[in-house]
Amino acid sequence: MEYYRPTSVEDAVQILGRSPGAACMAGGTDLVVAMRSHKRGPHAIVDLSGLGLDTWIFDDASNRPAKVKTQGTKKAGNDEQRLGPGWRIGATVTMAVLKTLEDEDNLGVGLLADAASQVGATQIQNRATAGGNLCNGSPAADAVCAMVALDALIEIAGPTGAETMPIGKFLLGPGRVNLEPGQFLTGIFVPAHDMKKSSVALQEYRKVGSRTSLVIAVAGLAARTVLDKGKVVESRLALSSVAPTCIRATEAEAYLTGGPLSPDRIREASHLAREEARPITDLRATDQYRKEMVSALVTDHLTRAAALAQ
Amino acid sequence: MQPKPIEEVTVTINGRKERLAVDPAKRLLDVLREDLGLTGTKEGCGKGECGACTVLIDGRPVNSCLVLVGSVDGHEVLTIEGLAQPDAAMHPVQQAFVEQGAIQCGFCTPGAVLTAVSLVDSQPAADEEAIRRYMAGNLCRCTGYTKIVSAVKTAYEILSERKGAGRRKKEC
Ligand SMILES: Cc1cc2nc3c(=O)[nH]c(=O)nc-3n(C[C@H](O)[C@H](O)[C@H](O)COP(=O)(O)OP(=O)(O)OC[C@H]3O[C@@H](n4cnc5c(N)ncnc54)[C@H](O)[C@@H]3O)c2cc1C
Ligand code: FES
Ligand code: FES
Repeated sequence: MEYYRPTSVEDAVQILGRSPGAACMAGGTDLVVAMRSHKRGPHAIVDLSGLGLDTWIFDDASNRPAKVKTQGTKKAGNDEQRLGPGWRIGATVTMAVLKTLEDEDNLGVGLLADAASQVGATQIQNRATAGGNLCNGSPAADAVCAMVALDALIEIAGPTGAETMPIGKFLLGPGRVNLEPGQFLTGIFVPAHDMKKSSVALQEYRKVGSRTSLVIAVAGLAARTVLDKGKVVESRLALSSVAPTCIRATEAEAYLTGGPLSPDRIREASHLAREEARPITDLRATDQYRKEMVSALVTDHLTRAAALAQ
Repeated sequence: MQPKPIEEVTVTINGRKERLAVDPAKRLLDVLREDLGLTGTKEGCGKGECGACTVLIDGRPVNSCLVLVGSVDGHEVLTIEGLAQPDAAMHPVQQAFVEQGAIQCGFCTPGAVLTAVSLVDSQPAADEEAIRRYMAGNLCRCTGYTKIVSAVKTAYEILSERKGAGRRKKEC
C-alpha cells in the first residue's frame, strides 16, 4: 500500500486525482478500525495531517465580501448565503482543540466544544478530527450533531476547485457524504449566532449511552435555546443517532419560537421532536427507546432553559 | 513535480531519533513492539477502547493501535520505557502507582501511567472527577479504579513535595 503525506492542498488533490482507490486519513480513529476489520481496504492512504489544516481562527467578516456563493448539490443549484462573522475550523482540528473553544458570549461555538468534549476519551480526542467526524458519515457523530445545530458550512477542495455547501447537503446517509471522486474536506465554517444583551441562552450537547466516556450515542441532542423577555427567540434542536443522518427537529423548533417555555409547551415540543425522529432498532437500542430518549432529552434541556430565564 | 509516497519514517522515540525503513501504514504499536523491541506498550482490544497501547505523542496520550507510523513522521513518541532511566529515580507517577498498590497484573499499567503523566503535566491540579474523566480511556480489569485514582492524587502530592524541596534547596 502506498502512503502519501502531502504538504499542500494542491498536492493532495493531485494524488487523489490519480489514485481512485485511495483513502483520506486524518486522525485514523475510524479508518484504522475499518481497515483492521476488513471493512475498508484502500490501495493508498493520503494522510492529511501535513496540510496545516489543524488550526482555527475567528473571522470577523471584515476582510471578505458580505455575500459568497455557496454551492448546493449540483441539482439543487446555488444558494446565496450571507456570511457574517464566525469560526473557520481546519479539517484536521482535533476534538481536544475543539473543546477548548470557549464561548463566553454564547455565540454558538461552545455547543461544538461541548460535543467534542464527549467524543471517545482523552486518547481518542487527541487524534479524532472535525473533518473525520463529518466524512465518516455516522449518524451518531457527536461533533457533527453540534455542527448541524449551528448551520455549519462545509469547505471542500477538489479537481474542479474549492466549493462550500451547507451541512444539510453534505450529509447523505449512514457512511455517505456529498464528496465527488477526488474531493476532500478542507474545513468548516461555524457562523457566530449573535444575541441581544438582554437575552439568556442555554447551549449544550447531551447524549444517552451505557457510560459517559467511550460510548456511541443511543440518542443525542445538540441544543441552543435563546430567550428574551421570557420568550424563545432562537431554537436549535439537532438530534444524533435517531435518523440516517444527524437531523434538526424543525417542527419542534418552529413551534417553540416566539412563545414562552411553559410546561405545556415543553411537553408539546418534546412530543413533536419525538415524532420527527426516525430511529432504527439495532444492537444498542430499540427504535421505541430511542424515541423516548429524544423526548426526555428535549424535555430536560427546555426545562433547564426555562429555569435560566426565571 | 509529482508528490511521491513516503518510504521511511523519522521519529524521535524516548529521546532518540530513529530513521525507520518500515511500511508507513504499519501501526505505531506494531513498530514499537516488533521493530524496536519496546514491548512495554501492550495490545488489548486493538480498536481504541482499552488504552493498554497508550503512548505519548508530543506529550499527549494516544492509542498507538490506531496510529499509523507514517503519521508520526517528525514527531516525538514517549513509551513507558522512556519515562525514567533504569538507574535514576522513578517518575512521580510510577512511584505513586507503587505506593498506592495501583497494579495487579500490570497489563494496563504502562498505558495508565502515561495517561496520568500527561494529566499531571498538563493540569496543575485536578480533582477526583477530573482525574476520572481524563483517565476514562484506560480500562483495568483487575485493580479497579479507586487505587488508580488515589495513585494520581498521590502523584500530585509527590510533585508538589519535590517542587517544595527544590525551592527549599535554593533558599539554603
Ligand atoms: C474507541 C473509539 C471511540 C469513539 N467514540 C466516539 C464518540 O464518542 N463520538 C463520535 O462522534 N465518534 C467517536 N468515535 C469515532 C471517531 O473517533 C470520530 O468519528 C472521529 O472524529 C473521526 O476522525 P478521524 O480524524 O480519526 O477520522 P479518520 O479515521 O481519519 O477518517 C474517517 C473517515 O473520513 C474520511 N476522511 C477523514 N478526513 C477527511 C477529509 N478531510 N476529507 C475527506 N475525507 C476524510 C476517511 O477517509 C474515513 O473514511 C470513536 C472511535 C473510536 C475508535
Ligand atoms: S489496544 Fe489500543 S486501545 Fe486497546
Ligand atoms: S492491573 Fe490488570 S488490567 Fe489493570
